[in-house]
Amino acid sequence: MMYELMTDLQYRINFLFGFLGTIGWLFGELAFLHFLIGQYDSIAGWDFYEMALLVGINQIWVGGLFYFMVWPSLSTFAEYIRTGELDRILVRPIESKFYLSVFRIDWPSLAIAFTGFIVVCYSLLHIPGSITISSVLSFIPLLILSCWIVYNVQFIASCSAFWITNAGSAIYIIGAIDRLSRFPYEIFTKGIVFILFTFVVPITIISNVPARALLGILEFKYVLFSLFIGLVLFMVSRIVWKLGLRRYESASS
Amino acid sequence: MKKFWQFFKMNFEYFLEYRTDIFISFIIKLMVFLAFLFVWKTIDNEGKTIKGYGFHGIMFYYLAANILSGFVTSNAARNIRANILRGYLSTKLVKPLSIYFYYLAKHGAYVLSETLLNLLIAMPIFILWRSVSDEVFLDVYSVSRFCISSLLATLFGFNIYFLVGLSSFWTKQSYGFQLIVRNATRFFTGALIPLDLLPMWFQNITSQLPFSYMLFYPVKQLMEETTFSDFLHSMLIISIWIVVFIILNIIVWKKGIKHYESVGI
Repeated sequence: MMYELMTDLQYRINFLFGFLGTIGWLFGELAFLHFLIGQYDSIAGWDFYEMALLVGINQIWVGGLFYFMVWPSLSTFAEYIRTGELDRILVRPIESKFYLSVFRIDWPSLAIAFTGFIVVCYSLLHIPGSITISSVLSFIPLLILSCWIVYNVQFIASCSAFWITNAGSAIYIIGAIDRLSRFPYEIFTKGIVFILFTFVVPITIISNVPARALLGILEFKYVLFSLFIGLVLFMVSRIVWKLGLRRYESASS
Repeated sequence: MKKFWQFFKMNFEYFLEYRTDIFISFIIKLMVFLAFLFVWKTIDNEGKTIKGYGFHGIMFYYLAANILSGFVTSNAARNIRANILRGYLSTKLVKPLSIYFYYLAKHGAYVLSETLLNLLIAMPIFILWRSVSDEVFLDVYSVSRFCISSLLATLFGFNIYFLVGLSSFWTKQSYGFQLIVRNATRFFTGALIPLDLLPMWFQNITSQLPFSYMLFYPVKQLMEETTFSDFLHSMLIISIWIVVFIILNIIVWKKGIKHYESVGI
């Protein structure tokens, strides 16, 4: 991690611009919400501060911590598959899947997680009577569960490089997850989008479940469902990883 | 010109080579569009007025903006940054070609491929969903104004990202700078929300910047009748910005190339 920080800090101006760029985008998203909600008071029963809470929670993990410590590794992992350089990781005396998930770090993204935390705190100040000890205690494990779900989705997407070589679009699925998981679940309860966004790419539970836990409005069935989706995605990611390794061909000695 | 046409063809053929990746990109873009469709549908179902647009109007806007977003994006910054950082620019400097037009040819292939992909999503929806396609204001003038403003938009997009890429002569890594420009264009072009839904003070600011003429203004050409003087005014603004950025690119290139170092070819 220190090595990655030193590498990033070699390019100080880029580090600063990266930080400013991602912070600017967060405020752009909040401005978008503000203008949207400002016209309509609420969307699907969620007012501005509740939607900002969703955005903040999304930014803590998907926009922040995920881009900090998982995405740089998984995107490089896909590149290693494409160029046949995965061997040097596979021969190391460490669990390959774990190492490939965390070996690179993007330090500017940590600032996003921090600003997401500030947005969450700011939103909670304006939502009366929401936060209690039990809501915080239920929020933390559910946030970790959401993190695990996003990680497994991205890992499966990165493993697609074993089959399709140029997996540029699949790797960037996290961008779509980042943009879409900040909307309330109530918007996606009908038709094909219900199936797509609940079972295929489960964006509806990533930020919604921890947010509802924090607001004290979570139904237990969503907890069970999140757990079920997490387990299924974990098993699929293990299977895909093993099948992918069988298919992998090295291009180096 | 023949060599730049070859560069354009080769880069476009490279795009067509990875068909599975194209399919995955298509699915992800469709997913994002579906999500925004349901967001606005929820607003419409709650009886809330989407000022000046209506539900079908806003859907047409997002579809048209989606098509045009492929046209105004650019991979110039990423390509130039990679070539400067790894020293591959040297192989291009020794060749008898203009670096600017070389990257412009690559940019042309890239935007054509992105636009075709976006059209694959939008055209079936336009054909099958008549209420949305009825929002189109089509005549010879609106189509020709849309085409001219789109061409200027892509030229501006290329020049701004070319400048971002050239900053790599000094900073080596210019991804952060690219991120700022990309996020600014996504917000100020109206890709996120139509600019005329935003407060007046914000619209006044964006009307002086070139970004609103990259996407919002061309899309509006297809949605409502605009006067010729408005069209000329907007084209003048973006043309001035294009000239400014071309001059900046020439100056920055001349200064930057003196800083360039590469090891081996």
